[in-house]
Amino acid sequence: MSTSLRRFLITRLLLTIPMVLILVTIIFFIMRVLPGDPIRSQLGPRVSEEQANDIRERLGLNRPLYVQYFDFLWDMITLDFGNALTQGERPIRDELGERLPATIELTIPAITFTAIIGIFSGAFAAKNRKKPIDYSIRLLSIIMYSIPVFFMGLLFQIIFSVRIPILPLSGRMDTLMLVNFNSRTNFYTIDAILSQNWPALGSVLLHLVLPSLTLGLALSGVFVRLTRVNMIEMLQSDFIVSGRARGIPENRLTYKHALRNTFIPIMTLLGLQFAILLAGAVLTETTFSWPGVGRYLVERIQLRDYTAVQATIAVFALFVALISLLMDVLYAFIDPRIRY
Amino acid sequence: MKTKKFLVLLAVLVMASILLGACQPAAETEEMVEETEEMVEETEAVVEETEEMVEETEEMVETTDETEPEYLWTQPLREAIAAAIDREVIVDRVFEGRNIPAYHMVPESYPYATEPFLDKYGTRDLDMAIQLLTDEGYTADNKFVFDLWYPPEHYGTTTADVMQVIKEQLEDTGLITVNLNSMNWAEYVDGFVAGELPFFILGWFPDFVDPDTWLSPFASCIQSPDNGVNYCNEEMDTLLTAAASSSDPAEREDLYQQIGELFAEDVPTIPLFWEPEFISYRVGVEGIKIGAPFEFMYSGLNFAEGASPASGSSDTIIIGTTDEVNSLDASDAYATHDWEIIKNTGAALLGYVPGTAELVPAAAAAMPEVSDDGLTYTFTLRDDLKFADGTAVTAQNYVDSWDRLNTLEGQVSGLVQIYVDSVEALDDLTVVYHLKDSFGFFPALAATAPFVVTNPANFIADEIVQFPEALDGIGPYRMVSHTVGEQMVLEANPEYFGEAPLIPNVIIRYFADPTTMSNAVETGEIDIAWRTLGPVESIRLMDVEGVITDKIEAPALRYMVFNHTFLVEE
Repeated sequence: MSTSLRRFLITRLLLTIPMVLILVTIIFFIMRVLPGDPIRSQLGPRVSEEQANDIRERLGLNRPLYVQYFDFLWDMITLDFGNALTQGERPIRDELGERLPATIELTIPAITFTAIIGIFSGAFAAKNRKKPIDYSIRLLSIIMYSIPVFFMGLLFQIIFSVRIPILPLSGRMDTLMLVNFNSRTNFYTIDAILSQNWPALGSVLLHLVLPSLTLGLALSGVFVRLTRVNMIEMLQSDFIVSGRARGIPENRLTYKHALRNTFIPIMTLLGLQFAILLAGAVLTETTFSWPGVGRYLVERIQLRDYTAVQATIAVFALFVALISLLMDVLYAFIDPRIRY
Repeated sequence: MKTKKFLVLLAVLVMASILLGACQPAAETEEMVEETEEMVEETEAVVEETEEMVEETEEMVETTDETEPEYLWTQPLREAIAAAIDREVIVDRVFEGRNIPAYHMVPESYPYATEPFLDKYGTRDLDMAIQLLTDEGYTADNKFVFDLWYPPEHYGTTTADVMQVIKEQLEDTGLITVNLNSMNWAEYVDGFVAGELPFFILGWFPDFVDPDTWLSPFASCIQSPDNGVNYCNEEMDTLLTAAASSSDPAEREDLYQQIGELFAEDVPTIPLFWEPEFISYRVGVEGIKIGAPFEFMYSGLNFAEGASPASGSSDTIIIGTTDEVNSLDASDAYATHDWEIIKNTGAALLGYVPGTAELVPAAAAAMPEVSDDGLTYTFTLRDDLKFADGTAVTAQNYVDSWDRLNTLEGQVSGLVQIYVDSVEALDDLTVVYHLKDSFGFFPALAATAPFVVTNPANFIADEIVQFPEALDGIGPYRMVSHTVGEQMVLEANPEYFGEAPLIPNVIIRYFADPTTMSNAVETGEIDIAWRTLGPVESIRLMDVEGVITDKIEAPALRYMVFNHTFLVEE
């Protein structure tokens, strides 16, 4: 690692700290300005105001706001995150520890599907510009982009689980296998491999097919169009024309030279989409009963679970910062002109 | 010369007359000044008196303000609203007849239930509504205008349709204008608890099987503010207290009849309809009995011969739900699904004959002995009670469970603390509950989840444990694992005092949405799809081969609330 790259990484990592701090501070105060509170949101009128106050007292919600704020900052620094305020008041570290792996396990194959389908179809369409196949791919990409993701999920469920029962309907693993499955990391694929439980691995992979395909297809529409536009421009550039003149085969020109040069904007969007998917896969998680962090965040916002929302958003912020950092580093590998 | 003398004399006379004239008025003025001073004094006295009167009047006005401010909802207006609403039409138009019109706050399947709203207003009495509104001074040009609030999502998307129908029905009188408003649940709860909403919809689910849990929370002076009703009527309070404290069925029946009549006349709230639940199960699943207490006991379930269980074995049944676990600690849990798990892995002091509201002893060996003043209930425990881990249960465990509930301030603590003062163990098998007052419904309360004894091995004394590693209670099942958001595994408790469950293993699968759950029961991934399947999926499943769908008359009420202390806006 060059010294300049190291300096770049350290600067970016240090900049992450004020970014996360500002974000969680804003979230801390916005959550408390919002009408409603965690006790009433969960229990409604079932408890009297006196009992609600007792519970607020127990949860520390009656303390001055600045005390709660510094308490929360301390929890963040120590990576403890404290306990949630609703749904069992469990330690947030445990809750995120269960849900974040589920979401990441869904997001990685989904974004892989997106990249493969989106980039290659886009490149293929660009190569065959204004031919029927180009029009078909563009039409399909618009359809993919516009179909609501939950509808696509339901459609896949009805086709591949109900009518032609070849894939499981929902969940992360077969019900009976899960009874005796010992999960340590909560990444079921990794746990299955570590324990060499191959039937479980098969079940986990099968359960991943429909949700990740749904999510991947829904996102691929944008990538088809993005790749196509950039590729068309690239295919007309001087170095491709001269390459063509030198007799380099068309496929090699398209998929090696031109595609590699369009990767920068595609990588940027892929990185951003990956970060968005962590919290944004709510509808897919709901349709496939996937116990992920997107659903968790939405539920907790509705319940005004201050601590859970703050912690989850802080973790997201860290992820987004790390992914964009990773993307910046990757640019240098894709484009030799970029140096840090 | 004579002329000169004459002129001098005349001048003297004139001068004298002027002087005299001047003197005379002066004397009169003095008198007048005196009179005026007297008058001023008198006026000042009058002013003082007037000021005193003004002060008195102001005091009187203030006093009047304290006793009778101008509240929006007068009794005739409440009656008019009650008369104008047609529940049958709401149920038909919005729910296609699936829901059941509610003519009282107490469900029909409960003891002492009546239908006072039907008796007083029929299904609808528009003429009565118009007459009452006219008597209150409203005309077509001077309509009664008010805001009606609802939460758009919390009770399902049909709430907006219900509100629209109610608005139309009220405006049918020609004398009312309803402004419909909505806001999200968190804000809504804050709003009605703070008394900011004049008229709004709420839902209610009972805590125990007695009319009191349907009436006191809305109509008693102490409890009604918690639900935003703010209703207080001495006569109602006296009747409710008398009915609650009596343990004589005949007396209670009479009192609840009177309460019903007064309720329909004074209209603290307006019951609208009962929302049923649906349960779908694969052909071959037997033994589903869910009665008035709304308890689903898994131990009675069985597979018929020839059934094809989702697990592939008749030793394991898979039940789907869209509920989530909030807390499995009996000293804290206050949600329907949590109570269901607690009751299946534990047993309260009393229980119900499955599918009925008939109270029978459960962990207790017999029904409790009640002291003459109704303040003490003595339970004798069964002598074969053991936790699932093999440790024996004693009366002290019940005292410890109460201490946890009373000191840890869990969500459910308030429900029991209102009634129970203290608990003591007389010996290993005798536990005594001292109540704060005489409550005739205490046996029904003793059949709820907070009266399930907690195992100290699962639940430490000084902390609420919402998600224990295991549940080794005294019920037919024990919980052996729980993967949050995915599934929970129960297996038969070898130490259970009653008959062993027919199916030894139960897996609860947690779904995020009813459509996926209904697909799962259709494809045979699960054996039973339970709460909350919702009307859309249930009706679809009614036509699916291999699946049976039943409607369960759940005690889930939707009702309209008048905020009785909402002031007339200037």
